[in-house]
Amino acid sequence: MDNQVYKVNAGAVQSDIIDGEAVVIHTETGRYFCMNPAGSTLWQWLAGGASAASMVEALAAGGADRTAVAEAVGEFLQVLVRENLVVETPTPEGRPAPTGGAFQVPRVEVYTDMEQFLLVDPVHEIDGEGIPKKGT
Amino acid sequence: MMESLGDYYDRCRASAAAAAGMGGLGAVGCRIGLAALRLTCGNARLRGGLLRPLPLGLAPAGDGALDVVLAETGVDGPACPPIPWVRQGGAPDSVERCRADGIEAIVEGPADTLTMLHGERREAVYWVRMIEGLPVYERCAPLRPLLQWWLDRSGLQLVHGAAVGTREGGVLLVGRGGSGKSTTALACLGSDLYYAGDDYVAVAGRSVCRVYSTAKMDARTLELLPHLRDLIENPGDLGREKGYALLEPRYGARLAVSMPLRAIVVPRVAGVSPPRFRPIGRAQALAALAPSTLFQRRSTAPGCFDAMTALVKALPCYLLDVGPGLGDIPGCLTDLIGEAAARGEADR
Repeated sequence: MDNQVYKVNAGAVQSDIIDGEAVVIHTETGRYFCMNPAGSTLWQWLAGGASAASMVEALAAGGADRTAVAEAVGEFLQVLVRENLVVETPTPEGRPAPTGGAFQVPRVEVYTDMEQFLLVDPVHEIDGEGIPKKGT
Repeated sequence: MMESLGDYYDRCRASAAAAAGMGGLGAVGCRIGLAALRLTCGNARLRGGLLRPLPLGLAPAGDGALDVVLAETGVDGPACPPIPWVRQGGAPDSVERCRADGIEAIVEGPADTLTMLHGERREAVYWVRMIEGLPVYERCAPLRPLLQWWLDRSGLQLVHGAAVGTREGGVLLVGRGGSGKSTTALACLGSDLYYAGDDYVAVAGRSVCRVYSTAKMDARTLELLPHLRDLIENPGDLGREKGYALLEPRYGARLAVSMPLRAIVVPRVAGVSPPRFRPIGRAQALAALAPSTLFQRRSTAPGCFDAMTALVKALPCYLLDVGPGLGDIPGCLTDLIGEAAARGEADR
């Protein structure tokens, strides 16, 4: 796994972790996400600037099979990238993640049942050339 | 040269105020928690029709209230000045939001309304083309974008949820459309419970305030609650759209102004009888509350999500399984409120 670092797409994503479970909302797509405790830990590490490779190292430190860990983390990150919850940053090295406990597969559930609020009734923002300001 | 939004606002407000002055109706007040509004209408149809779902009273004195002028074009009323920006939404029934010169404006194509807020002056204008043409969602929950803006500035949050309660306090019923929260709330009408709303309520800290004294029901809900059928204001529209009812005439004594919240409840149609409740994880409650509230907002507010997470962290959360026996719901919720209140005392 490469040393790619991701950051939360802060302009469009709101999230919180309650009792070890992350609830993440993408305000532009109308989708929301729930993560299990293992996924929530990765989400927290991502917010702290950990690289993909350092997260795998931390999770495999407890003795889990490194290949299996890398595959699980890779699949988890793919979902986050696909859903535009995180974006890649050009920072060459991320901060090392704290050592994790026994490995559990990180999961993220995607909910699309409220997309229609944004798709059927989108709010169009008018700015820039659309509306002149006073005094112009 | 295109008119600025600031100049357009001044022109609209002056035109609406002139019509209101000619109408001679004077101002009426609306108070939701600490948020106060002074509403001046251009005609009796606005005041007696559009505003009826709101908690109205004497017009507030002083500078703290939002001063709103409402106008209707109707058949022979003043025309709303054409908006000064190039429509970019594509379809004529799109919703467009615009910010400039300290003003927030929103044009709602489906309702054919224009709402503008001048935050610095604590003023607003609301212009509707034809009240008869308003969709059910606007009749049931009028001025929602404007109230959302003003409640944000007054320390409250307009959330997508229902609320009922006893003298011990209330519960916030949350969940997406079809989850049963509105039907659960409406099932409490006529019982000893107080009612604060079936679709949108205002939350301030750990209290809930009523915003609208209306109910929206489809044909299926009316089959379950037939005693509400004669309250429907638009019986001819059932089938095409939902029916809506004004609750004040019959249930005025049971409409709560505000209540302290004891719990967050996520209803689920489970086909069980009698209804039953159990604690659930707070993340599950947040997932039921936050997305539908945020996605229905007409403007962003950074503090809205944080306020909802703070509420979920502060209150016990329950799953309520309901079924065909709606008559058992008030008693079940009374028991739930009692348990939640006892948990709250124990946790202190």
